[in-house]
Amino acid sequence: MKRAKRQPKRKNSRQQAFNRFMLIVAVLVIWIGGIGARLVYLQVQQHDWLKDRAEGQRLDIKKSKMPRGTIYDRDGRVLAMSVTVKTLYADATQIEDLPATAKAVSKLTNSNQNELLKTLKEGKESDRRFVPLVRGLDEETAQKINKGLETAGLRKADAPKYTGLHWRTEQSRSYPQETLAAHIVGFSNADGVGQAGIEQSQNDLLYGAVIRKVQERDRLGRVYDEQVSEKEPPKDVVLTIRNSIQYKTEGPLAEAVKNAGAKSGMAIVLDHKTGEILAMANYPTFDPNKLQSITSENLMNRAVQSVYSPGSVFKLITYGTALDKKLITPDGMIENNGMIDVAGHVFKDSHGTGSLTYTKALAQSSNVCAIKTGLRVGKENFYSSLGKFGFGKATGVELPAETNGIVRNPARWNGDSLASMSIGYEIGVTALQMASAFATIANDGVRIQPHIIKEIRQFDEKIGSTTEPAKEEVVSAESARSLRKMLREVVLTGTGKMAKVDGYTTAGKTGTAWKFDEKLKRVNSAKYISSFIGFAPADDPQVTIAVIIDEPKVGGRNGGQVAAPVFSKIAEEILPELNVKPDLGIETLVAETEDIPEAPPGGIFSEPEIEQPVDTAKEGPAKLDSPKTSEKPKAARVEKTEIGKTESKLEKKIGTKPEKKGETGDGRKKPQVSERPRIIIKKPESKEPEVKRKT
Amino acid sequence: MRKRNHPIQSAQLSATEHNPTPWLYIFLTIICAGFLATGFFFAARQHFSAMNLGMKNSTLRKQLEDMEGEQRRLMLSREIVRSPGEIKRVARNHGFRDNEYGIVPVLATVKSSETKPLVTKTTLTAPSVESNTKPVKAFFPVATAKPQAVSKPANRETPVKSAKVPTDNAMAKLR
Repeated sequence: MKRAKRQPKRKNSRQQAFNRFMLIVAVLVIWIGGIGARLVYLQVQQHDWLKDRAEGQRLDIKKSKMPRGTIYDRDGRVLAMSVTVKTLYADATQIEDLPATAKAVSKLTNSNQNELLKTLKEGKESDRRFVPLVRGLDEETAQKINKGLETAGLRKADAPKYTGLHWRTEQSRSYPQETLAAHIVGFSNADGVGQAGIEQSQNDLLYGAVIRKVQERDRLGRVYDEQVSEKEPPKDVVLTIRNSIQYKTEGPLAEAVKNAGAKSGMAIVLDHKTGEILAMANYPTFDPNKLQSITSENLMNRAVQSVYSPGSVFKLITYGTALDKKLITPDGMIENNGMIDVAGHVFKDSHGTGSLTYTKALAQSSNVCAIKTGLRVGKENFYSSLGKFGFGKATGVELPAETNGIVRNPARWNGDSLASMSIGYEIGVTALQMASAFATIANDGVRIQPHIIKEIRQFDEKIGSTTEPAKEEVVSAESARSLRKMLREVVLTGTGKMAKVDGYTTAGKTGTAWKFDEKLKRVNSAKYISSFIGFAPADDPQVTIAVIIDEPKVGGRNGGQVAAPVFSKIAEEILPELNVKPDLGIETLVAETEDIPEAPPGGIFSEPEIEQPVDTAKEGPAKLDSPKTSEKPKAARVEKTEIGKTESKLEKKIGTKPEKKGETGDGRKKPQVSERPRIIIKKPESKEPEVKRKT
Repeated sequence: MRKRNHPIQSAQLSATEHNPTPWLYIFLTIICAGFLATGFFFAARQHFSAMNLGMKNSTLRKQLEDMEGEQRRLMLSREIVRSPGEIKRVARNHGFRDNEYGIVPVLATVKSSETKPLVTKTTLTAPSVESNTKPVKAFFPVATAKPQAVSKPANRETPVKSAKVPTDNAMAKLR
């Protein structure tokens, strides 16, 4: 019985244990099942959201731009450089206590607390997440602010450890030389995109690459792993200009423009042996650091973007071609009776001097002689020569918006076009084209393409590429030498005496041309372009300098009076710097011959060939004295047929007219510079220019 | 009975058979666990070392960037200080003046023979006391006149012109 009674009890306890065990198992199964189901739900249904959230906590993706490439001069002086600056900004949506934030920030940055508070309130009201508070701070200042804004116990991945405040890295472009070489360097806008000059033309090279950083952070926000990916880093551009030469070019040019009351001026210094532009100056100029000061007037790089009628300096091409074709010799004689009729158009010289050498004709800037020479050269040869010298096409210099100039096809020339072009009219050139033509003669007839970029450097300062300019023989070396001797005579006895430089021989040609007036729709005898282009030393040229003054109003207006002194000043300053040894004895207070006024002026077109000076006098500024002419009707006819109908508006500008001998273009008497007794005092030769100056 | 006792015996037997071997298993298990733990330990150590190095690397990279930025800033500052505009400003602050008007003393032209020097001055004696010979006059051109004409050095080839200011009449004529 006892056994019988005990057995069911034992059975019950086992059953009970089993049941309990199964209950526990069931609970565990349900629990695990629930967890499994939740896991499945999270992993499958909410996979993307969770992944993003996890990555957001752990990964930090930062995009920034590498600093824009630097622009250097040939000596490594910085012309344009970008630096990184920091901007403290607020995420207004994250900030609860605006007054406290404004107080903390104003205390550290010395800014106005009320203004900050106002800015923050406005940001908060409009839910702005980027409210810049302080801009342009360097790293050191940023670190100080970070320390000041340290909030204890705040877990925040980025600095400063203050709720709602963050840093943003930005770039700031600086031009340390200010106005110096502003037209060459140009400027870039707030987005780092070049807008002018080298900044614009080389924007693809200079543009700062975008850097993408994927940073992995721990729970405290510390970066423990980082992957950096970037595009091709920006490159640096090294220019051919030299800072000091640029300065020495801009100074005299600006001074001359101011003194002459001129509209503008440009000057180019060219190393004709390499084609490197050592300086390119424009006035008026601008400061690329002050974008608000830039206007369309001072922004234009006239040396490559402006077309003008060169006038007498273009006789270089006429005589150069004739010499190369062996049609003339420097000592050959030519008859100048003061007048020449070409296709019914009479060109007059201000001084008929009878028989004279070609050298003397160029020195006196005789238009009749130049026209006769041009006619001997012929249309085809002249046109071919223009192409060889690089006229009518862009030089290819690495500056934006370079113009081609204006050279018409011979098929569209009129009867007297060749004559006009022989003396620098009916053609449009840029200052750089003209400088390049003189550089060709200085370089024994070999034209080297002018360029302004010396080399491109990679970010690691290795040389990426260097410029290899194109070379072309335009005239023979013998012809170039002969022409140089002729140009030397221009400075010695001709119209360019004021281009003389102490201790150095110089050679060059003056030019004076009337400008086309948009309002009057014809040339204005009161508006000139005066130029002097030459090189030094005359026998072994080392540097070519071109100076062009636009619309000089005060004092002498001829190229020999306005531009030649600038040439002289520039050459005097830069030749010693270029280690060019003086090749001339010291002469003080010289000038043994009388001044010969620049060019043909009145004579050149005693009857205006392109415009009516008499009309100008009547309709233009009331009392301007225009050169007396006797064949005005013809001129009017020429104007209409030659340019007015056949050529574009721009081409109309090329017709200009120089002044009359002894008078400026508006009829005023030229200042007499040779009235004073002159004595040559020669001193012992000295090779040191400094010594010479002291004497 | 035999049948009832048999399982007990076999169980006893098997127990007695297995009794000597567990220590070996335990020992092996401990060794494996030791290896495993050591592996985990070293792995963890490597992991944290890598993280530590990553942090140091990140810090150094940031420092490098900061230093490069600082270098650029210093280079820029140097260029600003050396720029002509800044030099002019500093010079002006120190009392130097621009030579804008070219006020330079110019020697008058002299007709004397080449053997005579232009200026003779060996001692600091007053001209009136020294001799009857007239000293060479120096003149200053009008400051408001054309600077370019007077700013040329005296020893130029060309004669130095005195500046000419257009008179009111001339200007009126121009107009």
